[in-house]
Amino acid sequence: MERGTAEQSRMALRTTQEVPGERDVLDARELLRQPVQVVAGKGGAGRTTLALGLALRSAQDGARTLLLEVDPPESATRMLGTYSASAHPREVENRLWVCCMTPQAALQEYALQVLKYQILYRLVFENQLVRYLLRSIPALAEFTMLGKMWWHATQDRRPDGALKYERIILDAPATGHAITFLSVARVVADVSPPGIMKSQAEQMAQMVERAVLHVVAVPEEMPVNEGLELLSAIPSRLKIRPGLAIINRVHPPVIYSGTSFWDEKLGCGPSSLAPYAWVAQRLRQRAVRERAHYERFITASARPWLMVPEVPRMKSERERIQRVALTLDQALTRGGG
Amino acid sequence: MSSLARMVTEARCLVVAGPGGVGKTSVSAALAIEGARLGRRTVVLTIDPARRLANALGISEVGSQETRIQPEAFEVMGMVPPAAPLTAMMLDIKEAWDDVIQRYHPRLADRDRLMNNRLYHALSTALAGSQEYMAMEKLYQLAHRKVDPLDLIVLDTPPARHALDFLDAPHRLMDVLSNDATRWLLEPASPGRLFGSSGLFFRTIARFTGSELLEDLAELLRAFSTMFDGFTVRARAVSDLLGDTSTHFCVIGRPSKGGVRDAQTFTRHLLDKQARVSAVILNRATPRPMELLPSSPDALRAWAEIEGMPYEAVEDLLGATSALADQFREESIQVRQMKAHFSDVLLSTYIVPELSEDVHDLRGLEYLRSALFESGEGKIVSQ
Repeated sequence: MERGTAEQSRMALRTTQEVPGERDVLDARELLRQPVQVVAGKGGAGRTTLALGLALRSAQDGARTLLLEVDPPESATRMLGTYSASAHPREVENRLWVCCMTPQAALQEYALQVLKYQILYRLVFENQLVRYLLRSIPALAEFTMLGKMWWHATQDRRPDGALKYERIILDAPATGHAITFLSVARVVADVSPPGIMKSQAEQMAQMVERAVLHVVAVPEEMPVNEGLELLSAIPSRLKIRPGLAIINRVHPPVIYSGTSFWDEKLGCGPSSLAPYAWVAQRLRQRAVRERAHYERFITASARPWLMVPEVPRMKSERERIQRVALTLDQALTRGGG
Repeated sequence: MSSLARMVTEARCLVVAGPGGVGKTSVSAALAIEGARLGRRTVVLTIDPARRLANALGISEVGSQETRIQPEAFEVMGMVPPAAPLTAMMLDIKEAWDDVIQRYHPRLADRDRLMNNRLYHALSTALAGSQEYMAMEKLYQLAHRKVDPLDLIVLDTPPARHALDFLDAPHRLMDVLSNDATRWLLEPASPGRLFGSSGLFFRTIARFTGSELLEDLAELLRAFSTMFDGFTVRARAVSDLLGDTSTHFCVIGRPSKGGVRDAQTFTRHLLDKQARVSAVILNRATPRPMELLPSSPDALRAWAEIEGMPYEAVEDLLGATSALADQFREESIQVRQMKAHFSDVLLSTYIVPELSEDVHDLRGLEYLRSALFESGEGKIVSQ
């Protein structure tokens, strides 16, 4: 075979690894322009990396972007290197702010806004007995953190009156907790009698309902199942707009890895090359498996989708995130004009 | 006997902990299968809100009731069913709360009032945080069951922070309940102290919540207060069980750089809490490529050229091979580093190589089980 044929077969492989249609790409771009976006999925699916990739891309695209993390991973800050986690938004790159929310700091911020006086806050909230009670109230932590998100999304303004952040991206907790986290405002709004809390909760719930939820899955059985489960919770258990289906960490195609080419060739080759046959077989199994899973995710989710290939380890996490942002960008410029 | 085998043979309660996405549920199920194979009546309980267990066990639905994994389910897969019954269950928070109220609340009238309390409803259906309490209650029930007593309880836990929350839950509850001030405030005789309209606490909190909500809360707490003693007794029993010598912890992680760091932090946290961590399982390791056969890129290139094979395909294969080899080497370094890190504690490390298929049925669990129990400790097992 000649080199030309190899290139053709590589091209053929690239096109058989599916590429979103033009319609999908346009929808994806629209979804990524939304002011409040949530990134969720099974633990280990790469939520933080993707959320950070999306946030970096958004910032480099010119939008003032805030990435919010939920207590306690601090992984985004860790990934960006040099910066320690901060309970208040910190500008870590041009137009990119990162904040790791903790319930204590969020509660204090919130209470102080209503109470106005530090001393009253101390008296009531830092009273030991009350601390016991607050600690044992379920979902208070989630509620205050969601409240902080709401504040940044709707109230936090610059001196010129414009919203301080044009886009907010939340790196949500893993699947089950994400549903709880995102529905806590609705629950509180529904059970509270009229009062400050009800109206606050109502506004928070409305923020969630207007936000878009991107679901991330790696091409494996359970992450895809959980991703689909999360999307199917909308709207009965979770009121939010469905966003993108993002398939993360797909291994880039290797020539012939989807065929029995190497088995046949190496099968007749010298036995010293058997290890390569083993590698080739492994690659084929992986390609077939991954494909089955992401196709299932794409078909069953029926959402506009994006595919992010496995990004190799780089010198720094920062470089890796930049690479993810670039990949996202490429995926979004293919397709439509 | 490897320490993992000893754990499954001797432990009464096995807590499987670790960050998300590492295969806790599958490993829990594999450990439970081994327990049942050894003739121990075993249950695997998952408190993770995401419903994965049914999936991993290859059955369609695991309810909050114990479900027996039928011997036929093993036979269909060409496997020998375990010697003792194996059951699985998931935690349904709402059901578990109702069950606790039905079981332990002394007064029927209060029971109904409680069930109709708006806050109770929210608490038991939708809100987070209460799952740790309920997991505790379930664990208590399982451990103290008189009919069909269990030999082994395998407890799968929610990811990362929440596993520690679970460990802390009995203490948190006991803290609040045994606090004299709490008791005094919630005594039916003096409800006015906290919730009377003149209290500072009331006035301040009511600025956020409105007063009706606080009245609901007061009612809820008062209704619960009659159950305080029971809660405290059970919380203490669970705390004792978790600290007992018959309870072992097992941390699951991935062998990658970040994975090992997370598993390490996690293990340290548990050790700091006096938990008996007996094993760390690093799951889904890259298998050793080549199995050290004599081979080299040049040999492949030379042969491919004679055979007239496309140059780029050969380079692609070589690239993929060296990527695998790099990953394998990196993971080996991480594993060595972790072993060195824990050289001061008695802790066995197990490495389970990645399957060519995902683990989502009994066959996959069987592979996991045999990798853990039949190939020796700390060894890289090839597929």
